[in-house]
Amino acid sequence: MSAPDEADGESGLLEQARRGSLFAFEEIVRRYQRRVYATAYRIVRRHEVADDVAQEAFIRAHRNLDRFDTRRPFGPWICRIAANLAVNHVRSPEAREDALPDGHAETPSAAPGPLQGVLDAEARALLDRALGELPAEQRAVFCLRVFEEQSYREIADSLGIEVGTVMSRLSRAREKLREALAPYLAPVPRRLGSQP
Amino acid sequence: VSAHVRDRLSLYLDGEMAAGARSEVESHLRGCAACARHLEELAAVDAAARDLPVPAPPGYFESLPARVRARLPPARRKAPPVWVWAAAAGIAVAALVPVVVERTRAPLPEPALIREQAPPAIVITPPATVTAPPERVTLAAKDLGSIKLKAAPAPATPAVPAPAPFEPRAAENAAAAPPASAQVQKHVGPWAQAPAGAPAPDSARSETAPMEEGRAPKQVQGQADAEAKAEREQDRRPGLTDAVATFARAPSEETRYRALLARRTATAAEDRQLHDEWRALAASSPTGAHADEARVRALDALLAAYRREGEARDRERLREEAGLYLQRGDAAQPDRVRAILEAAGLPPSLQ
Repeated sequence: MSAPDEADGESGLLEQARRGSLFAFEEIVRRYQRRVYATAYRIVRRHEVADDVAQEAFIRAHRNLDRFDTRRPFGPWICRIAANLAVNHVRSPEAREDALPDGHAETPSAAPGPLQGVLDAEARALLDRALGELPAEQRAVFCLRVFEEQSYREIADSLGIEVGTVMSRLSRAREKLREALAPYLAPVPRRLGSQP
Repeated sequence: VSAHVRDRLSLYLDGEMAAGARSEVESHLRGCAACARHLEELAAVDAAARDLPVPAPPGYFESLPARVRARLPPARRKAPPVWVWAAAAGIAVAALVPVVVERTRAPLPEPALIREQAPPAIVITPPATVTAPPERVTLAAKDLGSIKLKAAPAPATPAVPAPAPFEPRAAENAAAAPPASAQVQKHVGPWAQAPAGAPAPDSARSETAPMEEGRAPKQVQGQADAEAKAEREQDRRPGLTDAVATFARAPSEETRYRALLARRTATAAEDRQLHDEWRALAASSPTGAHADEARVRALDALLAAYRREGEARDRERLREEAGLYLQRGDAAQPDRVRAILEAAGLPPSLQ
């Protein structure tokens, strides 16, 4: 899905980039960099790797602009490229899924969720850790569905797996995360406004 | 209450269920509080995950677009259609290559006839017509068809290169400087990524030699050399030579920049080395496209060294160089540099 501001002049920029304008492509990078980086980071879990993945995703997109239908939104496409690269990295033998070192600032989240105010720092850390402990394939499917809101078919196509596999991986991922968060989830209405 | 539907709740949550199955699940949920709560919890997990922050270092998103851009090819152009190449080749041959060919007084037979009539011994004993005093004529464009068949000297072949499989740089080079000479080819060659073992001029001659069976090989080669020399003379025109020289220099800075971008460091000493190389790159091309990024990258490397070992000298040097950067009138990334200063525990304003 692309936000309205992203869609503004997007196809024009893409056309210019296709014709060789680096300025136009740089503007595209500027518009999508947070989303692409977030997609990569949520899968690889390390800034250095997410940075590499994000850059590579944009470079590949640039290389393949001629094959991209500019009438379609750019965001899902570039995020799928990033997700693919990220999954490939996590699958690679040299991948290290170490925790991010302290000292990094945090970018604010896009929108508050229903547990805003309930999930304290401990719960966030718990969920974050549980997300990090998911198998990379499950994490990738979860990220593309939950953060990118892609359909099962789109996820299957971008990761080269069957729709049924998407379904089962997503279901398992959600169950694991639910179990990890169980102390903070049950039952939601009664916990609102109270400390865990 | 029907059988629990927990294993289908994820699918239901995503709206990916067929209408019949969806009604079935909804019917169950109305009568089963446990499954209904399970569904709420799954939805809450999604929402909570969306609420998780994504960490990134300060100034990261300020620099990413420029870093991506620095890694892109200088310009992207579509490969021209084949007919454009053909037309360009014709124009180049007609307008840029002064072709001087030797003609015997007696009219040459048609090429096909030459092949049929030429005896094998002709290679050793040139026919009398070849040794007769040649008449040098410059052919007009209308004669070029026969030149291609009869003379086809080796240097003329690189003068009109066949369109290689499209590479942005090769196409760009072709557009930037008319590939009208062997000299241009010499410079463009490495950019065009000619395959290893590509025929050298001599071997190119030997490939064209069979077309010259009506002439002695030495005579043909001498003629080709003369024509190549004439072409090289043409190519020594100042404008073209300068353009080629500028063109040939271009990749070195870009290559260095990309190599430094790809460099990974593991020790403070490597960080300092990287810092020095970034500085050297900026100094070698102070107004170049990558100079500003190179200056900031040098500071990044110093910060990395300081973070690894906490050496005061790294911090002092960082303070000094960042101060100089912020005083520059052409500093394009002052905020990023201030973020670097803050990360090193230095005040963001050093004025």
